[in-house]
Amino acid sequence: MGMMVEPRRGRTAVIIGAGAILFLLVFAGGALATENSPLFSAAELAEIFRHSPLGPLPSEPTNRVADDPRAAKLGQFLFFDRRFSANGRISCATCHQPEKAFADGRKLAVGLAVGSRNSPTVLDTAYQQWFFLDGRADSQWSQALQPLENPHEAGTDRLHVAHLLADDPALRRAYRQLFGPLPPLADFQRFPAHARPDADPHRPVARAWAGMTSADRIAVNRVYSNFGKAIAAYERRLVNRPAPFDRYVAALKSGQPAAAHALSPAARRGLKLFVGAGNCVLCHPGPTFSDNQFHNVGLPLLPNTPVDTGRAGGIRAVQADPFNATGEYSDQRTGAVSDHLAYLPSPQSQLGAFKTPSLRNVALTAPYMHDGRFATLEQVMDFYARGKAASRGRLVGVREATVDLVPPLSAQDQADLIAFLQTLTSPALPRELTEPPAAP
Amino acid sequence: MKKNHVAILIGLAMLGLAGFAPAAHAAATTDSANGMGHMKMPMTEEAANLEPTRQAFTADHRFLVELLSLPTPIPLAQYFQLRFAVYDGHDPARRITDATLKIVAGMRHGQKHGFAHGMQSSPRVEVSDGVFTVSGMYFHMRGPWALEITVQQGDKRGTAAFDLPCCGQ
Repeated sequence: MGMMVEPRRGRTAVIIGAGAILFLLVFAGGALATENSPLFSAAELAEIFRHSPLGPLPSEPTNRVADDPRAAKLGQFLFFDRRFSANGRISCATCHQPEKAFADGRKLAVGLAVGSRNSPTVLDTAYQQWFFLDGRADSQWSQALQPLENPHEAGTDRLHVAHLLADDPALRRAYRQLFGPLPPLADFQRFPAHARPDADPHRPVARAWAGMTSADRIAVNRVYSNFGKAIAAYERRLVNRPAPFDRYVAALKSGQPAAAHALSPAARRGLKLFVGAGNCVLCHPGPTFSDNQFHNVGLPLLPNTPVDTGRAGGIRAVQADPFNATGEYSDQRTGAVSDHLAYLPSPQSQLGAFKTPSLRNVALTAPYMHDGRFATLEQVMDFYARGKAASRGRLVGVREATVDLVPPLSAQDQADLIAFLQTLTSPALPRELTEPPAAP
Repeated sequence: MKKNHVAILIGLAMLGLAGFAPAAHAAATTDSANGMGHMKMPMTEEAANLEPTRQAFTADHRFLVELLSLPTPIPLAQYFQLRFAVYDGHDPARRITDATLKIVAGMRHGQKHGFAHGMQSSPRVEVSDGVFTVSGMYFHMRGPWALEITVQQGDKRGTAAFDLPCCGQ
């Protein structure tokens, strides 16, 4: 009997063992597969791959010194130089502090006075088409000019800038090497100490500007535009280094098995949501995580704040800007560089719209939105998670229905998205790019 | 006896290991599904299978509008051109050359009427030899775009609807 039973028990044991192995292969195999890439669909992977790496800088034909190292050095010196302000205490670095990812950490920018908008980072702006949150400048160099004469920011004027360049021997030498000789600025009859165009024609600076000859105004504008072009040559080098997300994508592309562990599970879930069902990529596509366009997301007007027309005002301003890409101070005025001005949309259609910010380093650039109303990324997520309810109140313009494509976000979804956004933080730039050089 | 015990032990051990597998699989499924059962297909995928409209009648069949050319694929965030021809809707062999064309584009994002948003450009239309060339088209967002093309010939007017997918890699 025992002899008969023994073989059956043996076969049973083998069957159990084989079944267990099969079971393990089916289920545990599935679990192992998720360690690689099946977390993402093919479409999601394609979208992820579009977001990294940052890639080469686009050409900048409107600034002939954009890639000249001498211009970058001069521009870096000027970026930190506080003399180019009305009170001698404000520079570009006041609102674009290297240790704060080239933003300032404030709700609203503070120069000579408190401004009305949050300071965006300068990092990666070389990849942008429009500058300022309302796109009122169309190049890095023309952007760099406006804060100098803004009464809330540096509050100075272009004649003061030109005289400083002429009076400082090192600056004058550096300028001459790049752009040729300065006009005869020592002649104060022709070139007053302070002058600029101004909305109020009765201001002394405006009267002084009006008193200059057309040729001399053009000569000063040329110097002023060159000042901006040097700063832009420096800013063009302020490009984010690869972030953990970039390393993750590189590993995914190369099929490295370790890729799955380069981001936390929460960050991976957030990434999947970001490129997939969350529809975040509609406005934050590509390596800069921005479409470089303008959207009205339905932020209600805050109490006791003036109406900000956003892009509507920006369109009118960039069209009128003598330093725009088609103006006489641009180094290439025609061709593809002028298309963006030729086909501008109607200002009315862009009322209350603001530029989509890049999300690289977003964890370092609080507070958020054009007016810095949200102190944390959690508050930003809450705004989008609440949908239309978050837009109750007085709106400027019309809320874009694209926002409704963001699905309801659970607390877990929001936490996952934030975990993903934190993987976009790049290491700090080297000191040679974040400190003023000893000489221009 | 001894061999059988070993086989049973191996089997039990395998089952024990496999016992963890469903948990691991469940965790992986949660990770993958991301709790997004309530979410629709991403908008960027909706355009993947969309074929561009090649010709369309205006609502009253007064005109037939034909899309003669478009870049393939349409580039994302770059200006591009479209070329159209217009025909008599009641006699499609007769080409109309004395009409004007107005083009409005946007994304509906599921809306039945109007656009969720428009283009961030104002395209221009030029006519030459009966071909209407539209320049300054600019799609800044992936997904299906909708065009409303209004033909005006004298006091006759009609609007035709076109769909275009955006965009290539």
